[in-house]
Amino acid sequence: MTPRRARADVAGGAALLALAALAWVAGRGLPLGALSQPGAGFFPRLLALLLALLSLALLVRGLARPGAAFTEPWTDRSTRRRLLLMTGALAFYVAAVGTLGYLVTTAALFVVMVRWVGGRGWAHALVIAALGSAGSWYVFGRLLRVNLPVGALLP
Amino acid sequence: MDAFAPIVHGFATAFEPARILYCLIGVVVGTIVGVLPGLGPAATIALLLPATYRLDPVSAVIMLAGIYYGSQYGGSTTAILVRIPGESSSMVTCYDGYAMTRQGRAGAALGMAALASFAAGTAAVVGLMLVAPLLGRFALAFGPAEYASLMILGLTLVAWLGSASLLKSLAMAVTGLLLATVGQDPVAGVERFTFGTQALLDGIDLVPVFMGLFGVAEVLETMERPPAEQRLPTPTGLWPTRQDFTDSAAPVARGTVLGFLLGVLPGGGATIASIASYVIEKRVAKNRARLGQGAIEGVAGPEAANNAAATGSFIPLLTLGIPANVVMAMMLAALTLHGIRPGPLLVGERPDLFWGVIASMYLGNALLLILNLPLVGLFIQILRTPYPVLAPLILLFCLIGSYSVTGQTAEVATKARLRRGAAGARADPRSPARGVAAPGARDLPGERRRLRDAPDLARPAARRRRVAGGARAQAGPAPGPGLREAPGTLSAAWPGILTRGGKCTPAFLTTLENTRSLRACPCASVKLLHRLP
Repeated sequence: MTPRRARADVAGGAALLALAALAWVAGRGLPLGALSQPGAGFFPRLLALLLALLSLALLVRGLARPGAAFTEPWTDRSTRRRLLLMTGALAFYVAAVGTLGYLVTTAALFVVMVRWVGGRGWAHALVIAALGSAGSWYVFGRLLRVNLPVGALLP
Repeated sequence: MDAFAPIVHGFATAFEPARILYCLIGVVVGTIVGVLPGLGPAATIALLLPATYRLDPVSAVIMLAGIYYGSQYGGSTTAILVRIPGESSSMVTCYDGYAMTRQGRAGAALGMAALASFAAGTAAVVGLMLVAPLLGRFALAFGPAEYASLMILGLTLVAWLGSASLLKSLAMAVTGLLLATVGQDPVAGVERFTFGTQALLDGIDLVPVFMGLFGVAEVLETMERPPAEQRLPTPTGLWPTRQDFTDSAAPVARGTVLGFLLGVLPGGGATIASIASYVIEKRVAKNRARLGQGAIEGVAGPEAANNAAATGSFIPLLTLGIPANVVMAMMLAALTLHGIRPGPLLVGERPDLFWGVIASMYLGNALLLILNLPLVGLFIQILRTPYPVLAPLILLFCLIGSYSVTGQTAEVATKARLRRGAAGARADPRSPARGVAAPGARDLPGERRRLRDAPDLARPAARRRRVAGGARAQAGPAPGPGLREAPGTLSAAWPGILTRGGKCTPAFLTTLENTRSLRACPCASVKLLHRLP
């Protein structure tokens, strides 16, 4: 096993262990029931326990093979910028779509993705944003009658 | 020859020009619905249900059935091209289908998906004709213990075959099970891991999870590469090679049989069938590592299985009057709207409908093949789109997909539950949703911020309706008057074998629980069943 994979096992095991702990803590208030008639909390806690055991095994396996420092998977600055921008754009979309409405938010997503993430020119970005948002709104919202998010300000 | 007379009559019924047209409309709409992620056949059938009022029942059912099996053809397209499953049943097609696209073999994958779907769909219709009544009874014998065993077998197989590390696979399987416990507990109705939000009350929907794990993850992964390497390779060749056909024959045959059998089971259906087929292909493959790296078997098997399952799931509906999944619950609603009682007597009472619908499926599958093969050339042009333009489109599809699914599932569920009699208060089930959605969302600004729960804009509306719809949701485990169906609707729709002495039979109750198609059993004598999906 390469050092990097060993470190990934540690990280993954720790994350899953945290999830198992969260499930255990959050599920404390649920009725456990009996083995013959399990309550609402029985299954989640059984699973949390199982997950804890499995993630511990993963963690131990990772620690048993200590590796070098965790190598950054994307060392390149421009790659990092692209990924951060895209994640940010997605988060913004979800946060803003209720207020700004589908059309504006979708156009903004397109502009960010085409102009900065994709590195195309402004003219390119604006045309694609206009076509993409209006076109998808028409197809999904109008023709297919999908309940697209209606903003507080605009459609 | 008298035995064949109804079948011949069925073909004559299905091949009337107007019916051919409705079949064509159905399969075209189905293909579109399948291609577009997030717009499922159940939601579409619910939308089109009012439009079928004016049609005669046979045409209506022919069209609606076409939507369902048509969607199984289209679902693979986006899975293969951009790694977003168009339907949840095309999820496993993402693995090998998209890997083939990366190798420049998108045309072969799409072509094989259409051919496998056609072969399986047609074979399943033959099966439907021959063994429908027999299999219907077999499906009813499947109880909770059998389902639990099936699920454990499936999870074990997936974990064992899934990846190089058994430990990781098992950990992920348990994580998935844990995520599935989010929401209202199906037995007692206790809230689990909802953290006080309404958004999580109905659990985590499968489709947004796929969209995130496949679609968004794929875009992120591609973005890691330098721009010059991001572009997907231009496909070489539109058609599967001779080797592809040789490799696919056995997987298609296995997928068809497996899919058909799993489709018949209530609560089974196309998604489970396609996963099972993939698992089997991985199990029997001589070189197991090949699957997942762009093997045609990984496309052909699951695509055959989901089509066969879609056809197979008509069996419990047509022969027993029991919906095997949500789509079939919609079909049941369509039939009852037209005053038809599906069940053991259907084939005798309405042979024109029974055999007409089955005969139309041959036609529909042929039409779908004719439609889909030329579309392969068109669809692969999508790959010529520069990635900076394609990426936001993929993200948008994922967002709309996860947004619309939950909003519409709530709607579909409401509709399936309320049926005609009980739903009298609402002439058009869509209008309240639209009217209430926005103000409802404004009451809950905090919930909007969740990535996965963008759909909750539509949810409060659904919840309000649920509350308004006769306090059913609050009825709890004790059967109260609120649980009772309106007279003359469901209880009357099910004939004697499902209810005995005014009470539902245990087998029927199990089926209802498995399908999660109704909130309460028709006789209202037994405690609250599953929540609706």
